[in-house]
Amino acid sequence: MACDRLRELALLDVDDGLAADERAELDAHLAGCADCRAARDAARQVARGVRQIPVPPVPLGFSERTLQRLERAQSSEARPRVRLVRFAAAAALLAAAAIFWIERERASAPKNAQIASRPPEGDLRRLADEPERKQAPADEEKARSVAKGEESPPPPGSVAPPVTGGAPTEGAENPARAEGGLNERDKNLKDAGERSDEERRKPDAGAAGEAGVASKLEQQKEGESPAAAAPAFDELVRDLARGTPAEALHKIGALADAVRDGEQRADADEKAKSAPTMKAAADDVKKSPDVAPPLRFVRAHGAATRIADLIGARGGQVARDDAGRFVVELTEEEAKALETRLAAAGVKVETVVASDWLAALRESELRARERSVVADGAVRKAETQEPKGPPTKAPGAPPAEPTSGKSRGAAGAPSLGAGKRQSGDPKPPPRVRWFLLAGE
Amino acid sequence: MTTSPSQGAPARATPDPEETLLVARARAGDRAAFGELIVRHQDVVWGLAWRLTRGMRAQAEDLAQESFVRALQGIANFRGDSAFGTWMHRIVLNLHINRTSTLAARAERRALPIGADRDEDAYFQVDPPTRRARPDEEALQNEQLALLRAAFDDLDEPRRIAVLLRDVEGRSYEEIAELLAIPIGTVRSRLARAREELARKLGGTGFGAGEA
Repeated sequence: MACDRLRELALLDVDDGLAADERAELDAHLAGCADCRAARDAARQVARGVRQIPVPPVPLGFSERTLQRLERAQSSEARPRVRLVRFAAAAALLAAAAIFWIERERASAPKNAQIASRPPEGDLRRLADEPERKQAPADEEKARSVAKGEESPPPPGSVAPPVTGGAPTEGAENPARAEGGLNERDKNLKDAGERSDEERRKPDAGAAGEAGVASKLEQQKEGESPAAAAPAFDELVRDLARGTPAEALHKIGALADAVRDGEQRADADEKAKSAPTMKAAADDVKKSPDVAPPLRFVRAHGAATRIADLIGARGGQVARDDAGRFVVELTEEEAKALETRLAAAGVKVETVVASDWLAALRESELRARERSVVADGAVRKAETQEPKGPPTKAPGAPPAEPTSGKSRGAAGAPSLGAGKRQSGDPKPPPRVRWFLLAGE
Repeated sequence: MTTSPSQGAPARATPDPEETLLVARARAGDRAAFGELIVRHQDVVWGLAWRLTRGMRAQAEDLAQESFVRALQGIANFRGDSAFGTWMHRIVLNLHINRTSTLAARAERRALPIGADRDEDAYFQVDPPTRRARPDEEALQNEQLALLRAAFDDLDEPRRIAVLLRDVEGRSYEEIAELLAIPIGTVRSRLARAREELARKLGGTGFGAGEA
């Protein structure tokens, strides 16, 4: 019906609300439709009336209040910045606290776990295969550079640690090279023994520090220790910079927990340090061989490793070779205790007088050497063969230091067997020795 | 005291150089310049806010003030393509639409009786058509006009805004469609239905029965 369609046009016919064609069509319709004409008139009247609805004047002080509201709005805009600054300050404080914790942990960790300062894996092998260094005794810097791994590693297999009465030259394919390497190794070991703890703790102090980092990273992968699993510091800082503030706080909290855990272990280590070194170690192994000792860097996959960790935790020197063998520093008395305890505990390890082993590698013509082996709980004394001639002392071989307790030379470092031979001595001087603990 | 019926008409003229200078100063952070802009446009902004809020004084002032705050906060985005008054008009309308589109605002509007928050001194305190205006409502010079206001406020929001923009503000269909983001046909339909509803509600009062 045309009226229905044109009714809307009639309602819109206000203030030129229609197009020309619409108006023409509407006018034609309105001429004969009173209802639509009335609707148009009502619409015009309503529109006019709405327009006439009065509006009260602007309230007094409206502009002033509006400006005051502007002030408040702008000050509230500034508040988030203040909060942001406050949060940044709090985050910086927390980060500083985290740094303090980490540094304190770093400072205390080597005491508890000097295994972190072990020479890197492959160190012994590199030393053994290193070119001859005839002037090694006077060249400690070169020895340090070797320890730092600056030399390219030699091919594997150049050193085969003797275990049970094997010829000491089996692993020394090049005696001449091994000789120099042994000199360096001896120097390095001595140097490692004489270095202060502070030097060894430095992460950038050389290969030892690198080995510690590598060891830590390895343990991070294994996830054996919460503290060891903490990310590296630089990574931590970068990580804190990412994510939301809540995430950063959570990470700092987790770090604090890890550090606290490490501190608890450090306390336990401090107590353990007061106990007899190897006796306590052997006792620990005997009593709870399956329980990880309270050390920061713990590898519980082998008794030898655990022993090495214990020794390192008690301030002893610990090194490691490619084959996973540990070179630990023991007194003669400790060596005896170790033999006895390990035998009683049935721990399957092998111990060798490290200095003898090193000397054997260095002096391939030397047939006679001392060696004590602890295997499967049975102590076997290696056959001693006297060399046909005087042992060729390597240029870098450290002199025997019977009075200083730092003797590592074959002649001045009696093995366990030698210790037994010296058992008649009423007061045998305690001598520090190096042992090689082979893994299970 | 009431203002003239034409008070709510937006400033649609080309912005004058003085206002352009004020806008530039306000954009540069001149608080006094923005204060001058407030004084210049407060009548229009207030009138629109008053009508949009159905004469609720507190809401009207809050809407008007907040609109100026938004204008100053966004004055850097004002390109000057239109007059400052037009831009302000759009801010008021958009802010009101945003507010009324929220569920809370709808619930509040349903909970409040008509005129519950209205200024007793300035608003037409109009009851349903059967009720007579109070003697103290001096602003009410015409009972029919008061009834028209009551009927107008009872329109649903889309129709009421369409009538407000077209019949009070005098905007074209195209402008309304742009402001409300709806097709022109929808604008026309809403406008026709609103006028028809108003005329129907006021038919018994003699208002809208025919051409005055």
